[in-house]
Amino acid sequence: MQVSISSQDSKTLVTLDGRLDTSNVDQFQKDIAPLMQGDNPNIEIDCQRMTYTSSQGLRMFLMLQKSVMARHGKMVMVGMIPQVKEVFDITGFSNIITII
Amino acid sequence: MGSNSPRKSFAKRLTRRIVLIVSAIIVAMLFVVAVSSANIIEDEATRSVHNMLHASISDIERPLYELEAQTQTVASHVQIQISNVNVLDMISHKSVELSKIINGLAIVIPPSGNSGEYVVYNFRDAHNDIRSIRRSDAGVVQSEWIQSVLSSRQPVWTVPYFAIHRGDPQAPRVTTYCSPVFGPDSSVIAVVCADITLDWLEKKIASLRPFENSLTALSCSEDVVIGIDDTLLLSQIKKEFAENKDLQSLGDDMRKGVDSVRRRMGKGRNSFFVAYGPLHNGWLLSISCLYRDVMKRNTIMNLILLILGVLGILTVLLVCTRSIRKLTRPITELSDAALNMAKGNFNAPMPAIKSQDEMKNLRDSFVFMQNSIVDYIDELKTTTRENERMESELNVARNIQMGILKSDFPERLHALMVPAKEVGGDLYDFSVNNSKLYFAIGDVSGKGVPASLMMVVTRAVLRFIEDMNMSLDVSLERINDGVAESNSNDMFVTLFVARIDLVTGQMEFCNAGHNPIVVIPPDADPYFLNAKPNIAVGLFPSFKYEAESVVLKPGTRIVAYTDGVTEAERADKSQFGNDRLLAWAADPKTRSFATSNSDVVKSLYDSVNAFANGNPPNDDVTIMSITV
Repeated sequence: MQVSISSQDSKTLVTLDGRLDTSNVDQFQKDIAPLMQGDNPNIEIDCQRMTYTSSQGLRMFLMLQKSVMARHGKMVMVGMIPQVKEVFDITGFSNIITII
Repeated sequence: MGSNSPRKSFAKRLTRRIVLIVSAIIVAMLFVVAVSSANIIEDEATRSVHNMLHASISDIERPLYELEAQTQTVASHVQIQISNVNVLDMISHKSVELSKIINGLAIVIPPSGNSGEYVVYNFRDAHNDIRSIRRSDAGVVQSEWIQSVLSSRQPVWTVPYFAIHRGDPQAPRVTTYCSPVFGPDSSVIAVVCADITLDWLEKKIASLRPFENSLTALSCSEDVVIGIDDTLLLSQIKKEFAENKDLQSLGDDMRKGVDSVRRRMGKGRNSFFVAYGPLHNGWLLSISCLYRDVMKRNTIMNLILLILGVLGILTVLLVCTRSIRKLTRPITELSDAALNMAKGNFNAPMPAIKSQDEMKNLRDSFVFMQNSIVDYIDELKTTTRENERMESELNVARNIQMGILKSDFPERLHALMVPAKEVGGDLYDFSVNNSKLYFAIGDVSGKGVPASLMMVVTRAVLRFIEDMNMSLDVSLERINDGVAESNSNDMFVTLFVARIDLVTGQMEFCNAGHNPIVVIPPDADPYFLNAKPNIAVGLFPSFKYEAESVVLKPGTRIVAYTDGVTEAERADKSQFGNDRLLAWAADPKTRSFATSNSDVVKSLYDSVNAFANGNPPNDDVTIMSITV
């Protein structure tokens, strides 16, 4: 899983590339740690190239969402492929995370 | 194999290489010195022999010139006193008496008009007494030399000869200078012939031996060569000169009357050089020297050089061997110590090294490595012990976890939970009460110990559902609150719970973000039950869950599972997926009433394993089959 983070005006753009599974979820947690703090909590996550997420991955997005909400920001995930979107739908995460 | 005697010792190789290189240099130096010294010696020898030749020619010519001068003087007296025979006799006598050079003197008057030839001759005999001979009928005028003087009107030197005409058995070897005496009409009126003995010349020639086998020769004519008295040898030399091209050209050069040196004549052991030069009277002095005589000195020098070279190489060998062995001894010792260590003796003592160099560094590195290994082994022992302890504890935990999942299955229901690690995060529960059947299946996010702890918490709060009087949505809310209460780590549990009225076939269910269950009706294609996802349990306390309801035909089979089934992966990361799951469900064997629930569960688990094809599972797998 490749994570690239860039700042854009009033939001932080995060691009994900690859699979998010047991083997790399710990690294992913370190990669997104900077997003959990700071005074610019608005985050847009580009998911076009994310091919899979395990339930541990869902937990990461949930933690990020909670952190953003605590700072009164907004997090959106965009461009999710159907297979990944399905996981979010099944678990009900689509109800708490904004997916465009 | 002894560690002290490796097959190719480093020290030996190094020594051999150094000695080889040094030897090569010494040999090359010796070669250069030998060659250049040979050249120098040859040049020097040639030059000195050439100088000796020049000096000798001067020495030989001096008495000859003297004789010529004295003969000229006598000739001038003869010219005046030609008619007085007695005076001529006296002149002849006095000349022999007074001169140190003239050994005999003849005045030859050729016949003229009616007077015949007349010869007066005085000479010193073996006792140094002067004897006189007068002849008028000897035919001396007819002799070759007198004729030569008469015709050429020039003085002539005879080749050396033995003066046997004196009638003395001990006649010496002499050479004679014949000079013409001219009359008033420029005709030759007499010839004065002065003899000079040649014993001094023979001695001189014999003394000219610059090298052991040198050959010095004074060639006066083809056949008379002073220095080569042996006629056999002379004829041999003449034969060689006639047959050998090199010698022929040498002979030609010699006859040209220019002094020179010819090098590199002959072959092999007998190769030689010749210095030669002419005397004013046409004689030729030559000195030949064998190179092997010349080089004798060089040979001795070369031998000394060779001995010195060998001694030098031996010294280098000795010094190299000793110092390299001394220098590399620590390597051998370290190697022994390392071998000792490799055998498991980690406290093997390391050799002490006094020098402050790379050897010391190597030894220090060894000691450091030794200490590191000892530390590491201690650590490994501790870790292994710790791991063993944890493993046994995990096994206990696994037994406890399996123990809290029911295993006394009724006929209508069967379930299987296989954790990916020792303990898992999947769970199921069920109970049959009168005509009501309740079941639940859940999956804690993640796996391993954290998931298993959450699983135990969830399993505990599932008790709420068993209370058949409480509506399902309220039950789930209680469960959610219960899990959320103990969840400080943002873990979550997907959960599907259902109650089935076995009489009416009505199934009330509530989904908390779990994978849709598969419904296999007896008379239609299998499908995924469409259920509102709500939200996974444990995240948001007080969340309002919505329950739904569906009526199932008798004979319907329900298969519930966790994502360990659909997300089972092959090595190429492709997943089992929903399509394969539905295809499996549509299989006649799965659908058959004759197939027991336990067989159905086993069949799906086998399919998933067959699909994974040995790829280790990365999530817990739970399968539950229920017949309505």
